Amino acid sequence: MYPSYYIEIITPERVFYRGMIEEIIVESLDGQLGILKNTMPMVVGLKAGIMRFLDAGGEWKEAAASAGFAVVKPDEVTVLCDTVEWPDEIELASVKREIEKEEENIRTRKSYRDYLLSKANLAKAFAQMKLKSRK
Amino acid sequence: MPNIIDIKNRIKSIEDTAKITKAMQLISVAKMNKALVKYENNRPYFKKVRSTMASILKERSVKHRYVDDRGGERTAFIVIASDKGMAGDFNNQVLNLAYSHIERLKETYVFTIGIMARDFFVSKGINIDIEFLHTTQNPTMSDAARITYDILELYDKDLFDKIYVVYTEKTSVVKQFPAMMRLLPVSMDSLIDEDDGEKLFHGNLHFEPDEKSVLDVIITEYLTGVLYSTLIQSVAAEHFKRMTTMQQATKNAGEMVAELKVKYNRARQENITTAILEIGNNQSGG
Repeated sequence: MYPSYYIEIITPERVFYRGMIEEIIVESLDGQLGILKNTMPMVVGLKAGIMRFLDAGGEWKEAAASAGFAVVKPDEVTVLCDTVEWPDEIELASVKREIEKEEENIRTRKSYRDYLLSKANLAKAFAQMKLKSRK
Repeated sequence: MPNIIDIKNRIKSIEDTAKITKAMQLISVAKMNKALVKYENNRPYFKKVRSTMASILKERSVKHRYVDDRGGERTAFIVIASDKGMAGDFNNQVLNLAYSHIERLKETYVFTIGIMARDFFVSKGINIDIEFLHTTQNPTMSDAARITYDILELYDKDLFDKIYVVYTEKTSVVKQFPAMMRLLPVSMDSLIDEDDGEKLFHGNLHFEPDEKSVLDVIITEYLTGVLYSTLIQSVAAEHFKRMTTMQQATKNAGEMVAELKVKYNRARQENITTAILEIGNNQSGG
């Protein structure tokens, strides 16, 4: 058991999680990164992927997150992402439709902007699908 | 002597108008409640993202193309108004704030959100460079992302040196005022509000994996989040303003009708009195 610390996971549409946790594993730009209490203060760029954390009750929780960033302070971590979703909030059928739609958008892209947007949406959808199909 | 039929018609027409304003008031209440839920959900993010950015940019001399001042005066404005009028001075306030800045600068670009904003600048003879459509009714994160990518692309092409967003800031359910915030280059003064109560982190932050790639991600995320917040706040403010305006209009209509009814009754009584007098005169005469 590790010492616990305060975490806030916030998206523009809601406060996803607030509370004490022991460890969080996020998908950083370089790959997976585990954060414990008293980790060196840093700013981490996050790409879309699965976020896992061990809450103070000793239970692992998982969520699918879009790109974002995390700020690590010695006793507090803040994660800010576009969207973060619990597994039971994700509907596999609609995620698959989303993937098809975005793949089509990438093929027929109208501008570089649309391409970047579709890529970001696609990465988010893949993270959701990965999380959902693992259950 | 006022004409009874004229007064009756006026009462009728005012009552009809009151029915419309009452209906609009009820619709705005429903829309405002919906917008307020989104607003309340967004508020923690808006505070947090700004104080977090401030913690990152503080003390450390961060170098990045979206943070460094280019020194020029070419300025772009994103102006957020609504698609519809009938909301008191909601549109006027925010548009005039934007106009007062645009007027005194030499080289400006104007991006509008909302039909009222578009019409305003067209009537002032100002060219609109981009119109973002379909974003004022129900703003979504992907709307905000689209706008972010657009402005970053233009900024990268070196079309302007600064970009501001002009919107209606809502600090509580009833408190709202037009405001202007600098988006790029990201500056400390647009990040800190004294009354936010968010404390900054003092100390060095390490960038993982490196400063440039982290800031690339963070600033895109930050802009999307902040733009979404400004859109959400503007929508909530619009419906709030429309609701109070329509409430006032309905109340005014009620007062006018009450006044006219007194006039109507007086005129009616006068008519009856004259009629009785005439009958009396006729009888005594005959």
